[in-house]
Amino acid sequence: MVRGRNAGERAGRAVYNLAVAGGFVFMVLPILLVLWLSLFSNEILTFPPDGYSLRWYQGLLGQQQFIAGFLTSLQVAVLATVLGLLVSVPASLALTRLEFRGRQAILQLLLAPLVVPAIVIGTSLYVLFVEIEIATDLPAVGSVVGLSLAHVLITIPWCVRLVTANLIGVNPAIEEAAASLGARPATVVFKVTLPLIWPGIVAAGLFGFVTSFGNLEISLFLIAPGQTTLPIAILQYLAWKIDPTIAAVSAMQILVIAAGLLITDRFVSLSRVV
Amino acid sequence: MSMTMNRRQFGIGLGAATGLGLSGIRPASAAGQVIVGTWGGDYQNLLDQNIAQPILKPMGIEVVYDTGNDVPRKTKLLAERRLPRGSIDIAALTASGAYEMYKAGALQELDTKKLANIGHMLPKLKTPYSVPHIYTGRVILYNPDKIKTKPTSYADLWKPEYAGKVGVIDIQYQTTIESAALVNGGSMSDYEPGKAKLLELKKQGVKIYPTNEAMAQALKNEEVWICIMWKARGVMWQNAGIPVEIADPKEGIVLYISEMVMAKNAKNKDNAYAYLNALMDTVPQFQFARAMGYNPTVDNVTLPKEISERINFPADVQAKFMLQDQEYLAKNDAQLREWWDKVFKA
Repeated sequence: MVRGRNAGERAGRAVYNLAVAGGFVFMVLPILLVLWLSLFSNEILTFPPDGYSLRWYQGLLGQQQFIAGFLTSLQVAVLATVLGLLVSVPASLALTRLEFRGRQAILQLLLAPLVVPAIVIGTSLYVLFVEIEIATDLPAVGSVVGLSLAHVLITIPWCVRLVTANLIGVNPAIEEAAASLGARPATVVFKVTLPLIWPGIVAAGLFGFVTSFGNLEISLFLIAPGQTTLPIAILQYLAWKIDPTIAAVSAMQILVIAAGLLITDRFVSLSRVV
Repeated sequence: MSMTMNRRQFGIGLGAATGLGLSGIRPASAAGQVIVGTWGGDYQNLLDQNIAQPILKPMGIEVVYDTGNDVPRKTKLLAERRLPRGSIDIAALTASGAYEMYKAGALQELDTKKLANIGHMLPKLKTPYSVPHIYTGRVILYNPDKIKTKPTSYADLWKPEYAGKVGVIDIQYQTTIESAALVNGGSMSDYEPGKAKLLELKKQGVKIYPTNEAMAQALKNEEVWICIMWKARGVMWQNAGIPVEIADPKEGIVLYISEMVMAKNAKNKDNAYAYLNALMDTVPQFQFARAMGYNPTVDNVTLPKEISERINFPADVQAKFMLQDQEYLAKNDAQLREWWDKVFKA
């Protein structure tokens, strides 16, 4: 029974509840479908399934490329997230707390990787690395450092946007009060500002990590020989086989990310983050 | 605010995380390597199990894979032409891709004296810049429960009784236009008549699927009864339980050839030659035929009858094997793609 003062309000609330429930189902359904598909016994994914089996999970153990890809993706995403935060947090502080010429231009520049297609970023960076190698004779092409730096680029827009939004929400009077009581600028930042925007930093880290972890296009061009990322391994597997192994890989990925979120929740309540 | 991690702990966490990331940095490639740019998945696994481990490893050569699609691989070969040493030594490409890279000056012309097995290469497949690794032919796949009369020509796809049950694959635009051209007065050097023919198929309600895998599902679901596909894929799909039979079109069998080429600026040329030679060894050639349904590119592999019957073509059909006109495709691919996207798919 939907509560409300009159029929119109009750109808409005019912529509609202329906929209919320619909949105929730829309978001969760793909995850549930992936988990379901991973248990199908038939090699070609068709409905209804012939039966159910865990054999695709057992088969994962023999697929070294998925394990290696997962570890590389994890390394690159962690490095990109950390470096992205180290760039984005000071940049966001400067953009929200200082007035200077070109502020808007710098903000747009930092957000630019979000509007440029990732395949264009990947190709451009690859060509840049080739030019660097030609100019310096340093092995810039096909290095983990190059790949990680490229991933930093795609984490920055998320980090800057989220940290900036949080900084705007902080009452400047609190920082001014700390400064007027004798705290030096660095002390204000570390003792007052950063603790206040902590949920924003965690959210930025989460978004940055997920963006990097799932990126395919940049990695395709910049991955070092001998290494692979999980999205590349999945794409390559699909070129030859269409069995539910991919669903099993995705299910494992969902479980790992869910575990990561639960661990994060122990440090910072996720309800405050997102 | 709920915050149980203090700044010091956060700093330690950041440092540890960065360390974890940096631990993935590898030193530059060592001696005794060959870097092979290839498709991954089962193809790379078979390369590793049948070439790298049993043949190259005992020679002291470590095979390192640069796994990815052929488009980034071609981009790398082109972009790295100016580097004294490229990042890959060997690249797996389609016949068209290999020709394109050769014309662009990115490939090493091969010294056949360094390829002991080259004498066994099928003459029709030989090129001066590549070692053809595996091949198959383009055929018609059909569902025998729905189509009782075995197709004999690509023209059978236009039969009114199959309207709405014919499927084509988006990424196979080139070969689809080519097949249509062959039944409408075109040739391997003139795909233009295929366009009008395909528009007829469009009027009959042809279904377009984005990838080979999507087509496999459509065949399994019986949304599609008939399509054009590579024979090796047909065999793989039969093995996966998809209800399809294979028919050879009377227009002739156009070959799909997967080749391996050496970058002009390969760092490890001797090892690359060793790898290319090993590709033609009988054991790996046999294993690719057994596992993937592709035909050996050399004449000294004897396949068991049960494999040969499934993947090979009768002698009279082999006599009509056709190769794509790479020069024509290099000039026309862009306009064919544009027509496919803007007219056929519109």
